Amino acid sequence: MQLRIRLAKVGLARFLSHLDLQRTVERGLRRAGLPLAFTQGFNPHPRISYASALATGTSSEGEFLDVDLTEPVDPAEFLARANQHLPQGVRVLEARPAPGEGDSLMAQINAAAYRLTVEGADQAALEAAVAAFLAAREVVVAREGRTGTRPVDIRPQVYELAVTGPGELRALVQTGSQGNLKPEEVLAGLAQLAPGLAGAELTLTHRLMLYRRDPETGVLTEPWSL
Amino acid sequence: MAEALRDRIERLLPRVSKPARYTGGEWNAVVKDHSKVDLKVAWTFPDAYEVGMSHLGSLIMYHQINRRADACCERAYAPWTDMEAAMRAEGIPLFTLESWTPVSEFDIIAFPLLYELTYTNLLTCLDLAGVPLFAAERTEAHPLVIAGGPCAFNCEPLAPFLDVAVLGDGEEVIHQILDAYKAWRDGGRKDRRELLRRLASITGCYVPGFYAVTYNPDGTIKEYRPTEPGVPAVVDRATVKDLDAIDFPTRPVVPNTQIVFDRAQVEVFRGCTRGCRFCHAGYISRPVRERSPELVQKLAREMVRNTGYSELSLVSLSTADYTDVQSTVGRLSDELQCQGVNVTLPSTRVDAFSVAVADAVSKVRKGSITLAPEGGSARIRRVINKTVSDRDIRDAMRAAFRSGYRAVKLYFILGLPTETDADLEAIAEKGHWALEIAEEELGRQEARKVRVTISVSVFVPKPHTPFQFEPQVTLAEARRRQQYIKRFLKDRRIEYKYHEADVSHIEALLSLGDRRVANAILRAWQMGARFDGWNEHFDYNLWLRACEEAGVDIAFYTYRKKGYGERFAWDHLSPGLSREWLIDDHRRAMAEVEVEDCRWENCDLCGVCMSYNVLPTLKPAGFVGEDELAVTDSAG
Repeated sequence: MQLRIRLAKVGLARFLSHLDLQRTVERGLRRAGLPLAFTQGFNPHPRISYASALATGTSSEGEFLDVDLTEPVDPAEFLARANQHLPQGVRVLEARPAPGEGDSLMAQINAAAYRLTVEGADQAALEAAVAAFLAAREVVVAREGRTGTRPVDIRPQVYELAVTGPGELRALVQTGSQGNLKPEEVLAGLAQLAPGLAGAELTLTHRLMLYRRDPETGVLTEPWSL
Repeated sequence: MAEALRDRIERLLPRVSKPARYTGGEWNAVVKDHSKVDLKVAWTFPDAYEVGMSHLGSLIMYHQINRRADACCERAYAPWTDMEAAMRAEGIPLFTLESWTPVSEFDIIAFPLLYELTYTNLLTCLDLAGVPLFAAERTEAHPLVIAGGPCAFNCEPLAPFLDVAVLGDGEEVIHQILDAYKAWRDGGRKDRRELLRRLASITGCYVPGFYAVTYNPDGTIKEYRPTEPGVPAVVDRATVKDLDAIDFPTRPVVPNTQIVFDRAQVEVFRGCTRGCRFCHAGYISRPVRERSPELVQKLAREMVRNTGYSELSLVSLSTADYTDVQSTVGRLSDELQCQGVNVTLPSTRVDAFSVAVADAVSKVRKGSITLAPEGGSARIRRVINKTVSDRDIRDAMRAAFRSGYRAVKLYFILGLPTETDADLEAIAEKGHWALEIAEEELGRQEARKVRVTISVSVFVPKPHTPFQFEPQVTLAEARRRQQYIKRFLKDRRIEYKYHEADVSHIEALLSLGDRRVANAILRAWQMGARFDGWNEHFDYNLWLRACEEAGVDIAFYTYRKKGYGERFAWDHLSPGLSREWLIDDHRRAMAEVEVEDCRWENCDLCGVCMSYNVLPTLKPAGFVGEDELAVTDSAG
């Protein structure tokens, strides 16, 4: 059987890399004595697949993973047992039976919602920048790649952007294999549009949720029903 | 206070490399309420988190201290250079991972000393903690600074910085130290010298400040003299006699981030009496003391359950020598495989048997197998008492290819006493043997895929070994020999790796140094030496300048052949070997005569068992200990 899990990585655990998180979750589930299914072959490892990699330093309450089990486990029991054996800051928030045979989560997820905490920003400038950003046709920022820096128009990758409190933004942006927007790039884009944001710093990035976003209609579907 | 410090540290973390090193919060970390314990120990590893967390001895000692209700042990590590800079810029002191407490607020700071090139990091840790570097400048208000581990057996280069060095096995002596500290503190925490006097009376504890050194006109040591009444002229080591009788940690801290040895470790025995003459560990940890196979299996099961590791390693100085290795490994391997757990042996002998054992455990992944002949020719292997024959080496290679390995790593030491160019050629020859045997076993086609690595390090003479009288080869000569070997390695399937000879030169200085070398360490640290064991940080020229300014002649310590009568800086720090025996064994080395392993053959009277009233203990399966026998008898 396969369970789909929603996981949180918060507090100091946000400094775990994606590989660290994978290792930590795997060890926690082993300690919990859950009936993990292993891959066959030379180097067996548990069949756990993640929807998306999360950057080091980013906290989250919206990580999704599918866990293969060799025998049925009640989702509530899975949640309780896993949480007894996971270290500080790593928590299973929800567990549900994974829906049928679809493409992998990773192939389907294409949008992520973030809460961004910005320090050193004048609130009015922040609001003006967001309004300008949404009105702009294109917002070009420098993207660092493996081969160097190149200009990229990030406007099409930002689906929603709003000021939700003092120094706080909510953003829905593209993620996944078709294109991945870093929250830092959103702030870089905003800073271009409002000179008052020059000294602003993104102090906390928190991923709220992952979605499948229909490219035509913009309708969002949570991973539970993918 | 701790909360505020935590917040300040947290703000640095997005700016530094591998921040998960500094966050704590690991599974099985022991967090105690400081108001409910009497004694606080900061276990401070003078290297990076990923090295320190891999050290089994630290896990053992963390457990030993934390199992006491009256004490807590928390961990600190040397911050990487970017973190050190950030901490200095923000005025953040060295802190522990368990509770974000400044290390200076602990009663005791304990440094494990595994490698000489961590000495400058020890100074970084003390300085970042805000504790005076020199023991003489510390008062009753400062923590007690102690150090243990293999390098403690010649801690003279660190003497001015340490209050106490602990020689030998730590599990029992630590409790005596903590009790003595408590008694002193409860008695009014008066005179720091009084505390040191109490500690100096514990077997295994050396207080460098209680000894005065004088030198001969030629620079050699004349005398070490105790300056306090009742302080021993020679400090004996602490020795655990029965490993089964001491607690072993089966709930070790499980790191969240990748470390060097990222696996569960169970120690199967301590000590090694194979008598390889270059091996420091083999002489300071005699004799062999095995844990019973039943206990090893029990500990392994518990450890896997409590950690969730996917790999279990059975560790010792040479695990293939464990009496019950085959059935212990076989059983554990069969049992743990179902849970997706690999069993591994980190160090194996060079013979077909050990390849078979390695083969039995690594059913899952056939990566490369490592063989360490150490010496190229049979002659030099007699000199170093590495008792493997050319035939053993060939058989091991054959067994490795037959059981599916396609990569063989061969480890050698260059610059061994009496080494000639013929011995160097013999190193290269072993690489060609591996290829020939691969072709015989696998055929030409398959043998093309084979990879052979020849890895060569530079010999560092170590205290308390028969080679303590020997000089190191000069840097220029070491480099010539490295290049000489290279000439004979032309096949593309052979990869040739050699360690930086200049690193080994400084290692030799710090291994063989005396108190006068402390100034060079201090000077190097002041000039910015950090993480000297890491190639990207090591700076030989910096060390040369530091030694020059400190008036330390590196050649005097490293390139000089020492007479049998010379007084060494470590002669008063005893692992129990008799000097006469070391001299005899050095003579045997020069005569290319081997000694037997006292585990299975005759006792050679090295002196350790008699000095410390300890016996070699081999525990085959079904071994019944004396206590259990007694119980059976009385019940019968």
